[in-house]
Amino acid sequence: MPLGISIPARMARVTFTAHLARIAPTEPVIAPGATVADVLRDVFARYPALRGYILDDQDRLRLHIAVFVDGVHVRRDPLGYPLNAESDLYVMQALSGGQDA
Amino acid sequence: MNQNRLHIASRKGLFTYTRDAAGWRHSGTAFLGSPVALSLASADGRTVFAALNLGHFGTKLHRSDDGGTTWTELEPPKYPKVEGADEKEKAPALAGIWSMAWTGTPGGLWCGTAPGALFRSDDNGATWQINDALWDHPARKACARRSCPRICSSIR
Repeated sequence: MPLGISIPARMARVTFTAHLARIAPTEPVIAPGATVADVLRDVFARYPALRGYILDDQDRLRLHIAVFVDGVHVRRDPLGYPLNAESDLYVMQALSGGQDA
Repeated sequence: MNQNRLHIASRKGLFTYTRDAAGWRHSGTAFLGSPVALSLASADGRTVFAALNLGHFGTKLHRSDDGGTTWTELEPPKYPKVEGADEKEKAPALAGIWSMAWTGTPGGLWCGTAPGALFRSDDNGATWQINDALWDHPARKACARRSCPRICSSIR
């Protein structure tokens, strides 16, 4: 019998760089998952061609791809990064250079 | 060999030139703005491969079955999967395609990649198998340590 409370599923909103418009969703998509890897796995199931553009042969995040979660650039173990109930994810190209880089 | 068609792979796209009575003329452009590492055309000119080296998104492989008018993206060669966190960190992943050749059998292709490996396809590039004899060769590791960084940087 249901207890009358429900644990909200963690749903992230994912936005991909416009440079991937040919193979990625062009609008933000909603995907479930407790970590960045979970959420990306769900998106890749819907957009299979996208996978190889974001992950390498060993399923690591590509060296020059940056993941932002709730406004923060996740540099350390980005795929394992835990998400909130409604995290906002951006998957972009990593850029370097300039004086402060 | 089709003597009247030329595919030029450049850092800004693949440009095709065709020769007729008036001489060479530009007849097609593909992957405009993307670095195309190399292209390989069949003797009849119909099948064309293009290997792209996208800075952020990795090495990509495309095939045309109509002489370069339309293209289909293929799964590029993939290095053997390594399990275990520490091992996985330094495990190899495709960093570039620097050579392609026909094997001489129908649908057969060789593909030379960085880090140094040789792959073969027998289905026109749809699937690739690594050449184990070279990959497992004891001399490869020593060779890779010395020369691979230079090779990788020269094809980017």
